[in-house]
Amino acid sequence: MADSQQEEEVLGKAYDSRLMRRLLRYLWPYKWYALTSLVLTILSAPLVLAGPPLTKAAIDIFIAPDPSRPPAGFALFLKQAADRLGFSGSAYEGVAFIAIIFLLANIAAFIVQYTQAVVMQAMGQYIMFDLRREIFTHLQKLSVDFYDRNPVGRLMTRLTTDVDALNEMFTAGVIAIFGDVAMIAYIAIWMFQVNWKLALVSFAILPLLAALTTWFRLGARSAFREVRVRIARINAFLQEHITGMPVVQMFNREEKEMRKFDEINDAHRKSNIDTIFYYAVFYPAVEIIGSLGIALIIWYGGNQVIRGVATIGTLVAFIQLARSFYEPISDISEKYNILQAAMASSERIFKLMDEPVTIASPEKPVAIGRAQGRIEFRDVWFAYKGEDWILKNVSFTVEPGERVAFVGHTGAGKTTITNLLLRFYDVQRGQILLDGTDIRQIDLQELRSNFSIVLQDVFLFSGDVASNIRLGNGEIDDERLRHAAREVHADAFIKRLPEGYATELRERGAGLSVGQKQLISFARALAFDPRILILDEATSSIDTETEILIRDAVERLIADRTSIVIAHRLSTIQSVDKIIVMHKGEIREMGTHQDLLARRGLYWRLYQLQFYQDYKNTLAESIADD
Amino acid sequence: MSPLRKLLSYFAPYKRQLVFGISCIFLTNLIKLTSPYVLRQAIDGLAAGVAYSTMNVYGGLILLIAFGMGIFLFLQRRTLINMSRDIEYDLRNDFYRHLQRLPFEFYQTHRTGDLMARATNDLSAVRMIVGPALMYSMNTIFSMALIVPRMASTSWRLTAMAFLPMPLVVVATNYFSKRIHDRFQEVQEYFGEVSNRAQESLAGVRVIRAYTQEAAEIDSFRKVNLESLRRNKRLIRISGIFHPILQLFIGLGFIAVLWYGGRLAIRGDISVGQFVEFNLYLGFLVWPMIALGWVINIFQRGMASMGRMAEIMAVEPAISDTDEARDVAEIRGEIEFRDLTFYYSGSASPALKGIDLRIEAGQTVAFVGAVGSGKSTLMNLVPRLLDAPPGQVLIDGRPIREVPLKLLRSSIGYVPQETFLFSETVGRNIAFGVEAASLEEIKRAATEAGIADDIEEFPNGYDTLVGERGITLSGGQKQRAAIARALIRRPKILILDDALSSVDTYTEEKILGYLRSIMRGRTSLIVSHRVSTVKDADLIIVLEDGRIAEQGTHDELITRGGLYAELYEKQLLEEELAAS
Repeated sequence: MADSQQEEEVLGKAYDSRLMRRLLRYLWPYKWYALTSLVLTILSAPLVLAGPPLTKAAIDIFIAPDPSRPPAGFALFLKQAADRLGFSGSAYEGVAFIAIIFLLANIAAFIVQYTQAVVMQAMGQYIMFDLRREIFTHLQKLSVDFYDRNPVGRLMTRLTTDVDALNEMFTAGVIAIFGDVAMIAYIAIWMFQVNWKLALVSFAILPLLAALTTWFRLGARSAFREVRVRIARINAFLQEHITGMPVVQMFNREEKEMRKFDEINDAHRKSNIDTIFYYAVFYPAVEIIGSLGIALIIWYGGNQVIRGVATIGTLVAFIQLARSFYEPISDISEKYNILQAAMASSERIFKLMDEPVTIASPEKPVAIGRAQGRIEFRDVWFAYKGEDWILKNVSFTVEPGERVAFVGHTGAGKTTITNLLLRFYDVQRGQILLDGTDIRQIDLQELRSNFSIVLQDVFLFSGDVASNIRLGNGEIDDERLRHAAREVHADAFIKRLPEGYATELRERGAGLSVGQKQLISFARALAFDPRILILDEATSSIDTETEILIRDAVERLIADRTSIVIAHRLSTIQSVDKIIVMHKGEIREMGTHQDLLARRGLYWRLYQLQFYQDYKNTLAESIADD
Repeated sequence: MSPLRKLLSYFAPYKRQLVFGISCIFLTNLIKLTSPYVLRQAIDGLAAGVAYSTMNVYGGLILLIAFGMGIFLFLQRRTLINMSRDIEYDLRNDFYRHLQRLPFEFYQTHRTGDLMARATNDLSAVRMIVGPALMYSMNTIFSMALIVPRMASTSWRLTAMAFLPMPLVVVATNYFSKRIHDRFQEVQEYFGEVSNRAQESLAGVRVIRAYTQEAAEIDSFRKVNLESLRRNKRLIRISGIFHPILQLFIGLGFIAVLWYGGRLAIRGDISVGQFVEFNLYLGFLVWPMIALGWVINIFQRGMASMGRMAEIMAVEPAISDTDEARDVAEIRGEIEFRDLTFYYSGSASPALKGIDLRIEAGQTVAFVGAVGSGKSTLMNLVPRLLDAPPGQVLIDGRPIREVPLKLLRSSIGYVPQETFLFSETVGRNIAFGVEAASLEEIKRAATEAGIADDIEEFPNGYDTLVGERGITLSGGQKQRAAIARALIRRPKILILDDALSSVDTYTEEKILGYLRSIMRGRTSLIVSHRVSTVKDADLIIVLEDGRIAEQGTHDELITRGGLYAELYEKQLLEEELAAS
C-alpha cells in the first residue's frame, strides 16, 4: 500500500492528449458557454489594452504633432472620426475626444470581462457537478472488495481535491491561456503594423523570458511537490494525535511526539523555503528582462525618432506595451502548475472511473422475485487474495424458514459466508444458490432485496432516527417503521429521545449506547421485511437490561424467515434448527445443539469454553494445540 | 492577550529580518522610482533633438536601475516570506505543544475536525498576514509615500485628478471583498455537507449495498451537489465583478491623466516627457492600490483565524503539576477515594457521589454497574485524565496532586474503553509507553495480552503497519494490542476499562490468567460487564448512579443478595438455559 500513497504525490506532464480528449467530453455539453467565454476573452484584449494606442494617437496628433509625419492608420481614423463628430475645434477638443473613446473602451472592457467571468465560472461549476455525480454514481456500483483496497479518505480526495483541480483547469487554466495568447497576439500584431523593425527589437528578449519561465517551472514544480507531501504528513500527524491525545498523555509520550512533530513541521518549512527561492528569483528577473526590453526600445526607437522614422507617440506606446507584453507570458507559466495538477487529478479520476464493476447484475437475469429462502453452498472455495483460502470446499443447505447458526473461532470464515451470500464478493470455485438459482444469475438488486443484514458494528448515518431505519426506502411508511421498532423493543427508548423518531443522530450515533444502536439496526432489518435475515451478532458485552431486550428482539427478527446467524449468544444458538461449526475455513460439524453436544467434538469444547468458565487448564491447552 | 498582541509577539525573534526586509521594500521602491524620470529625460531629449549616443546612456541607465531594484526585490521576498514560514513553524509547534497539555475533558468537548481546521486552514490564513500581507502593505505604503510627491511636483492638480477615482477603488475593494468572503464561506460550509454526505455513503458501503439503497444514495448526493452548485453560482455572480470593476476604476485615473494631462502638455505647462513620466508613475501605483484592498481582506480574515487559534492556546491546561507536586520517587500503588464527589464541568448533577474506597497496593478490584453509573469516570480520575477536587483522591496516602504527573502516569498501565492505536507498526504501538523496548519484551507483552499469535500471522509480523496504510485490526485485536501496550510498562497500577469487551471469553480467560501472575504485587482496577471477568477479584465494587451500591468479594455479594447477585443470577440463568 505504500506505493499507492506515493501515487498521490506524483505529478506528470502538463498536457496529455489522451486525457485531454477525455476531459473535453465533459466540456462538450457546455460548449456554448466555452465558446462565448472564449470569444469574450479574445474580445477583451484590445479593450483592456486600449490605453497605449490611444495615448500614441493623442501624443502624435494633438500633444506633440510632428508636421512632417501626418497621422496614419488608427491615428488618422481617430482624427477623421473626431472631425466628423465635431471635436475638430482645437487640440483640446481632440484630446477630450480620445479620452471619451478611452472611457467607452474601458466600460466595454468591464462588461465583457464580467460577462466572461460569470459564464466561464458557471461552466466550471456545471462540469464539477457532472464529474462529482458521475464519480459518485460509479462508486455506488463498485464492489465491496474495491472498498477493501481503497481507504475512504483516498476516494474522498477524488471527489473533492481532484475535481477541484479540474475545475481550476477548465476555468483558470484553459480559457485563461487562450486569453493570454490573445493578449500576446494582439500586442504583437499591433506592434508589427505600427513599426515592424521596432517590434522585432522588442521581441528580442522573448527567448530570455522563455528560458526564465522554463527554469522557474521545473524548479518550482519539484519544490511544490515536496511541500504537498510535507503538509500531508503534518495533517496526518495532527489528525491522529488529536484523536489519540489521551493515549499520548497517558503514556508520557509528549516529549517524543513533540520532537516528531517538530521534525515534520521543520521539513515542511524547509520545503516551503525552497519554493520561495524560485519566486524570489523569478519576479525580479522578469522585471530585469522587461527593463531590458524598454532599454532596447529607447536605444533603437530613440534613434528611429531622431532619424524621423518613428514618432514619440510610437515610442511611448511601445514602452507601455512592453510591460503588458510580459504579464500574459509569466501568467502562462503559472498556468503550467494548474495544468499539471489537473492532468494528475484527471488521471486518478479516470482510473477510478475505469475501475471495472466486478460484481454486477447479469445481462439476462433469472427473475426470482420474493425468494422462498432456500440457500445452498455447493463446494465453495473462496480467498480474498490469491490462494489464501478463507473457505475451503464448503457445502451446506438451509431450507426455507430454517434457522442456522455459525459458530467458530475468529477467522474461521463465518463472516465470509454472509459476505458471499450477499455477493459482496464472488466465489472462486463452486457456487452459491438461492432457491436453486446461482446467485450470479440473479439481478443484484433483486438478490439483495431478499436479505436484511445486521452487522456487528452498527453503521448509522447522520440524519434522524427514522431515516436510519428507513434508509432511502420510500416504501417504508411511518406505520411500518414504528411497528418494526416496537417489535424489536427499540420504540421505547426512541420515544424517550428529545425529539423521538425525528431526533438527529450526531456523529454516527454518539450518545447512544452500543445496545441502542443495535436495536436501531434490528428495526432497520425488520422494517425491510426480508425473506432471509443475516445476523452477525455483536461480541461486545452489553449491560444485562439491554441484553435481555436484544435477546428477545433477535427471536422476533428470525421468526418466520430463513435466518443465518453468526452466533455469540447462547440464547440465539439455543433457538436455531441447525448449528454449523466452522474451523479454519472448513465445516467441521453440523447438527442441532444436542446432537453436537452429544458428539463431544469441537462444538462441545467451544461450548465448554464459552459458557462454562470453570474449565480445566488442560482442556484449554488441548484447544491451543489444535 | 489579544490575538493581535499574541501574533505580534511571534515577530520578536525575527526583528532583524523584519527591519532588513522592510528596508529592502523601501529601497526597491526608491530605485524603481528613478526609471520614469530617466524615460522623461529621454523623451524630452528626443523632442528637443539630441545626439544618438545619449539614447545609449538612457537605455543603459534603465537596465542598471532594473538590476539594482531586482536585487532588493529578491532580498525582500527572500527575507520576509522566509520569515513568515519561520513564524508559521513556531506557531504550529506552539499550537501542537499546547494541544498536548490540554486535558482529556477538552478533547471530549472539541471535535477533531474543528481542531484540525485551526491547525491548518486558520494557520495558513495567519501566515498570509505575516508574509504576503505584510510585504504588500509595506510596499503600498512606500510606493505611495515616494511616488505621490513626485507626481505632485509635476502638477498637483493632475495628481488630484488621477487620484479622484482611487476612493472608489478602496470602497469597491472593501465592499466586494467582504461580500465575496461571506458567500465563499457559505460555499465552503456547504461543501462540508457535500463531503460528509459522500464520506458517509462510502464508509457505509456495506449497509448500502446490503439494503440496495444505491439509487437513494445517488439521489441524495445529487441534491447536496445541486445545492452546492447553486451557492457557487451565487458566489460567482459577485466574485466575477471584482476584477473588472477595479480595472474600470483604475482606468478612470488614466483617462483623467490623458484628458487633463494632455491639455497641460498642449498648453506647454508640462513637457511630453513629464506627461509620459506621469503615466508611468500612475502605472506603478496600480498594483499597490489593488494590493491595499486585498491586504485589508487578508488581514481581517487572518485576524479572525488568529483569534480562533489564540482561543485554543488560551485554554489553561487544567491538569498539570502545580506547586503542590512533591519529590516522589516511586509509587506503591495504594489508591484511596476519600468522600469523592465529581462533577463534569457545566453539569448540574454529580457523576460520582461520596465515593469512599481504599484500595491496598497489590489488590485487584473490579467495578461493575450499568452504563452511566460512573465506572469510567472513576477510572479516569486515577491517571488524572480528569481531576478530582483536591484531597479526594490519594495515592500511597498522599493527595494525588502531590505526585508528579509524569511519575503518576508512567506508573499506570491504562487500557481505555475505546482503543486507539497509531498508524505505526504493531511493535511500536505496543512499545508506545516505554523508553526503549527490545523485541523480546514486546513479544512477551503481546503473548501476555493474547495477541502474539495474531501478530505472527500478520504479513510483516511486528513490523506490520496498523491503520489505513496497513492492516485493519478487529475490535478484539485492537483491545489486546492496547493491553499489551499497557502491560509492557510493568505498571504499578493497571486499569482495564471494559477493555475485554470485544475479546471472546476463551481469550479473555487466558489473558486474565497471565494478568494474575504479572499483577502479583501490583494494583489492578478492572471494569467489566461480565461476572466471569470480575468474580475472582479481591474486591468487587458495584456502582449505581455514581454511588457505591455494594462492595465485597464475589461470595460475600452473592450471599448479600443485592444488585450483584441479581446480575450474577441473570448471567447464570443464561448458562442454565443453555445447559437445559
